[in-house]
Amino acid sequence: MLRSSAELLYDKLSGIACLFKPADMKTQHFFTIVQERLASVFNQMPYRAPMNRVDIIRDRQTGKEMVVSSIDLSDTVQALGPRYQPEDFDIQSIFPLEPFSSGLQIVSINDGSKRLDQIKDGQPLRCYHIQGKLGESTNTLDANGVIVEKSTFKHVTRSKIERVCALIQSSFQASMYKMSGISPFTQAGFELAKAGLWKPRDHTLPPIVYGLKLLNFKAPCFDIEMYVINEHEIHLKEVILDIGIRLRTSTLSESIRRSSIGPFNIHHSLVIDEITPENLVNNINTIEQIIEKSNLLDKTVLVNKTHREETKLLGKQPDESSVDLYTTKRPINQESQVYRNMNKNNDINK
Amino acid sequence: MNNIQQPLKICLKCYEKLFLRCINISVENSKKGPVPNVSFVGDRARLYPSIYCWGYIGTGALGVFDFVNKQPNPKHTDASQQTRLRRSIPYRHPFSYEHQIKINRIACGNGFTLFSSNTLKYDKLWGCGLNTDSQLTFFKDRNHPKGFGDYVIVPKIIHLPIKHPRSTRITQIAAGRAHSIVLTDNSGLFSFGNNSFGQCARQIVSDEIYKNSMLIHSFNIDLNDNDDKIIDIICGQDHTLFLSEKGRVYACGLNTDGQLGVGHYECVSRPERVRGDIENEHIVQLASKGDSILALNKAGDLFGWGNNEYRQLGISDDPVDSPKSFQCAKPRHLNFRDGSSLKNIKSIASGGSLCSAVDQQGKLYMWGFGLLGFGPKHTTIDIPQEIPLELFGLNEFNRDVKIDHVTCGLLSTAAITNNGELFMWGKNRYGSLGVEFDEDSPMPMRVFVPARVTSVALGPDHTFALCKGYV
Repeated sequence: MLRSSAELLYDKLSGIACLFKPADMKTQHFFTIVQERLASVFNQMPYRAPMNRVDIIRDRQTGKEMVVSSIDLSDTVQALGPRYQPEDFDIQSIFPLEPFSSGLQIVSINDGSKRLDQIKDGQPLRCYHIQGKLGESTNTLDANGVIVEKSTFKHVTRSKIERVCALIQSSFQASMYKMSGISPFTQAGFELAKAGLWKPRDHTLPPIVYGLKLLNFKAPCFDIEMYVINEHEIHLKEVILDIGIRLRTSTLSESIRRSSIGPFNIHHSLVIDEITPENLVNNINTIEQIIEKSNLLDKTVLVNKTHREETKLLGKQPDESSVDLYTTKRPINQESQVYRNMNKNNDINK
Repeated sequence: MNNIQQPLKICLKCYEKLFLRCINISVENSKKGPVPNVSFVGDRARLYPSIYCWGYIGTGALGVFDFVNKQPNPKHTDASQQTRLRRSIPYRHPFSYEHQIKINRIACGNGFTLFSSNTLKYDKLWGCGLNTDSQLTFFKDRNHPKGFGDYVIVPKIIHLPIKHPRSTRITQIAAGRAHSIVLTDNSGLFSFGNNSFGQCARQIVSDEIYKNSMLIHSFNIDLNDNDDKIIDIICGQDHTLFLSEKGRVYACGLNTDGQLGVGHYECVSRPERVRGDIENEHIVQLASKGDSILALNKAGDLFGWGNNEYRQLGISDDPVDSPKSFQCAKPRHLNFRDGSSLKNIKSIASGGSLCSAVDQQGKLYMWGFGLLGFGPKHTTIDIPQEIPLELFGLNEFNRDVKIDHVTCGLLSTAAITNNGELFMWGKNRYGSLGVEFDEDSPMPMRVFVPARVTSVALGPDHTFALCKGYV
């Protein structure tokens, strides 16, 4: 039996895609819009015909058995409703954006594999472009709230903002060493710190800002580019607030836009009007090529794992002479230390 | 019931809207009134210098009254009493903003601190900390509740015997183990404190009692040249070095390791010119904290003399392991084991046994013995090695990181980057590194000073940083 074109397209439509989420919209709402659009396009295409119903009827007069095939009325569109329902397109997402912010959103459509979790474990750096405004601050720290404070900003210059950005970035960088479990007291810790930026693989840790740059400044507005992990929307707004406090004015963030997640760029993403099944299939193929090229688990560090396990994960030769890196003198957070001790006890019980 | 209530509600809503339109602001603001426009910065705001300090409290060298005056709590154990005597997190020094004094220079000795200002007022110099050898001069009011015994807890004015104080400025101060030297622009030099090796540039008097001594020695060095004058002074532990404008070096004090570079190993009480390789060179910078001394000439080449125990001054023609090769009484151009020598150097520093240099590109080189910043394994390096700038915050997002200048304490090192960030590493005596842990730090760690650091003064167990604000 020949398959219809809608069925063939539906089979192709599975994988990881990049979408552009508009601002002032919840992520779940955005996904339902995408699902409805996809379902309506699929329903306009030539879809699967209703199945035949086969009955074996005994003729009472002659006593012969006859095979009668007719259209199954319970499988028709009139009985079941449209062939493709919005729930047929299963959309999962990582790093979900909150309502105020817009930008790149990685989703998986009808994809049962664990690749989405692998991308999440790799902790790709997220790049945000934030537009801030000097002189006002609101109760929600963004442009939607009620103004609670107004102040002058005549003294703020471009170089002063850059200075404050450098200060905030370097103070986050010192905390990066602490969170990624690099001990400064050992030789192996020095070798790790020498190599530059490292990323903890724990999502529950507080956010780390890796890069903070002023793109352009025209009072009272300024644009800031920020590379960050483990973030929520409120953390980004707090950084903008922090810049304002250090500059002795009040600030609010007018718009937040995510422009890239690791290797995935905003140019790869589809705007809400562009989302058609054909475009999505093309998008899935380009994203597939990018995933194959890039090493997603690059430079992530597992906190509270032994040196040997860590090097195994990173695909390096373990350094036998080195002191165990992660048994530092002070535990980084008490909870993870307790968790580790519990594991040891379990081993003894076995 | 419902039928009656609904139109009532609609009516009320209409009235509310009308009312709101009249006053033309939202509901939440209508209760509080309009938001006023605040100005957090005045029109005449200027970047005012601030002082931060950390380290050992017990000697009073930090000069903060509240640190020392605390009554010991009987509930605390001995261990917590010990930790009470250290301040390991930078603290903004109240002296400058309480008295509205603009401090320009700070010098840290062993347990005492000197502050100086560029003003033409009568009060130019202040000091606090240990005063056992009258390194802060004699103070009359010993019965004052703020000062007790040999300790001065808060900075006190040091009166110098200057003839015309309203036309004289202090240009440089320096402090050693128990002596201090002050340089003025047209009244010569002043020295006070311990003189047992001639480090105060006056004649050694045997069995001299330095405690409660009222002597302030005022002297000038005869340079045999009318155009020349002293522009810089550097104090080691028990010796003093003077640098003149034409690049000549004079020295006096202890000379057991040849740290004066005058060719012999006897103490000098009258400043003597340092010769050897630097006789015809124009020296612009000197660095000394212990007994090995570095000098930098105008072209960016390095010279050194003094202790050479760990080959920090390179090798010479003398046979290896002979006692002569461990000491170097005459200045020489530094040549290291592999025949290399540093070039295009901008700034130098030397501690007890560790040496460091910054070149014109902003790269930092370290060599010598001690916690050099290459991890705990590499403690003895006799060829200068570059510290990776990744440790100072260089990465793919921040390409512009350079070291501006470097300063050495006896056992620790401090580097300031072009962003005004302070990094310190080495021995952490009484929290003098300013990092939050108490262990020694074998690699550069950032010190959280909430301002841009312009200069830093390191004592053996306390540190002062002169900073500027961001706005």
